[in-house]
Amino acid sequence: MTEPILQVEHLTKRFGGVTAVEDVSFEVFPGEIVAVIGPNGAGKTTLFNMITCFTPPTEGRVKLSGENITNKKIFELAPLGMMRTFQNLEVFGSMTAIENLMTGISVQLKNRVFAAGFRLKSAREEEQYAYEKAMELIELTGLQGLEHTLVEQMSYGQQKKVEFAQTIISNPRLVLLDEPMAGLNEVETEAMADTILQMRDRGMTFLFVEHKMATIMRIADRIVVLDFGKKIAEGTPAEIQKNEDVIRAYIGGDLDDVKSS
Amino acid sequence: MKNASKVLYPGRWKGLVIFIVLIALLPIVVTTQYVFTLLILLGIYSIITIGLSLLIGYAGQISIGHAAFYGIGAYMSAVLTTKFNMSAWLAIILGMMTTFLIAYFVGVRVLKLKGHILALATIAINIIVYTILNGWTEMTGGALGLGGIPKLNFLGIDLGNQVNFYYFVWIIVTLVIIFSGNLIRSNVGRILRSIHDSETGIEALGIQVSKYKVLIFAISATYASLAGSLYAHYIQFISPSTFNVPFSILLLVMVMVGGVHSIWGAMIGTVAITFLNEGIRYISHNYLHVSGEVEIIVYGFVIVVMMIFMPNGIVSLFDRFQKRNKEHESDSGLDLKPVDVKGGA
Repeated sequence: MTEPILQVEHLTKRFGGVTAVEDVSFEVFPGEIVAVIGPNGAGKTTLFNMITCFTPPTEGRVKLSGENITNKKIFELAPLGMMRTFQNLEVFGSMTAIENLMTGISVQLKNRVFAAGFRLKSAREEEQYAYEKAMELIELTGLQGLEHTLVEQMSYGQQKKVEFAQTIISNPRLVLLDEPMAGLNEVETEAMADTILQMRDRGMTFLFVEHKMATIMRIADRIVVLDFGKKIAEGTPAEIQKNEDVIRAYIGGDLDDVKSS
Repeated sequence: MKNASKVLYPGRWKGLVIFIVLIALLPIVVTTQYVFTLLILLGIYSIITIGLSLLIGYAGQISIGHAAFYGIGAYMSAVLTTKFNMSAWLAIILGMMTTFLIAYFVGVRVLKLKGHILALATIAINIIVYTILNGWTEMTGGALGLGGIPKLNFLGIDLGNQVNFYYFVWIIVTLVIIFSGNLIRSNVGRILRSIHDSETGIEALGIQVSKYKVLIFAISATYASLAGSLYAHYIQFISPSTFNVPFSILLLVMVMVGGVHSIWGAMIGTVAITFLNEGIRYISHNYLHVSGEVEIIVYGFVIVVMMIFMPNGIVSLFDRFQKRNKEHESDSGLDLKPVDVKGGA
């Protein structure tokens, strides 16, 4: 079997007396699309923040291609090929769409201040490279015609596209999406799902948190289910749909009550 | 594929050409010694405020301590030339390098702070430098100041001559504008602007924000150092009080009034405040018969009014004007930020 790209080992997070995430372990393999689901407050975002080094875990560790990344700094992850998006969009509002995308590719550039100030050949070449790459992504994500629009003037759905494009422009190996479809309408949701599938075919691996079940069932290869901070199930969409613990977690109470009613 | 910088940031040179023509022609119109002196000081101040615009307007960090770096530059030039007989040019460059290093190492610690606390820390830097300049008497001459600083001489051209020095200063300002403009129009510029919008976002894209904050802080300090050296060689006498906190505040007022998000805004603010300053002095002295620091009261008033009615500074007037005139393509080049040109809020 191939080596997992991401290994989450016994991650636990306690805030004072509250345990937000408790002993969660799972693996993600290259080329997979894995979804993390769970009712509100199940600890999905905390888990996500621990994997992406935004919050240090109380216990446990995270490995990227075998390398321990648990206590790395946020900015050290992108160079390793791991990128993330945010639930409340972290785009650059005062910049245009194309500038946002070009900023996304920074990790591949040298960004030397003096080369830029004196406009040396290396800086001009980097600029051209970033521009061409960004135009490619504009087309791929369907943002044509909006290249020079300020991101803060865009609709929520368009901003989501910008954030997604800016996250994948540098060709990361592993992309973590925090509710990529939240706030999108049906058409936009489908388009986002298609883009994710398309990027998977280009070799990217995805781990995402989402609430829209229909979309999850359509694109996810595997699903990890959290409830009250614990992993209660893991499996293919078909398995998860039939899993009694999952149904109980979502509907509440006893499954027999649900069935009989 | 089209040329990236042409598509992204059009119409830059037109503004620069207008600027250069204006600078070249001004000495023909201006004949009074007094106004000439002002024009030279304007150039010197502009070098600092352009740097501040990079730091405040683009990277979103504040400094109320740039008079300190201005002072370090001035005193490096003064001390090295008068006490160690060093070449003035070498002293200027050494001054800039020293300031860069000092600002860099101070910045590494200080720029971890944010907002008001950062503002206070930069004031503290200013006070420390001021105290040293005042107290290290055998080197700096203390409160009595340091005189006898030589005039500059460039390849046989006497820069002690008012007109020559005027051109010399403004050529340097032009180079500073081009360097800063290049910086803003590169990926480094986009990183700086992204810090302003979302530090979290840019960190997640693999950029160590602190590194760029510190770099831009050090670069803007180096600009101030260069300006300080020019000032020292022009006035030929310096004393610590020039480099105290009130001047830092004055610089900040200039940048705010002109428009913090634009290099041209910084320059417009510098011009506006410098002339306002002279105007206040003239009126208060000759008509109101008051002396002392009256201008501080006026600055306070100006800032309040500006922040209420024109938070983006005087330069935003040009944006509004442009927007009304050309909806399709506007490129008078007065604004360096393409975002405002393309139609903004």
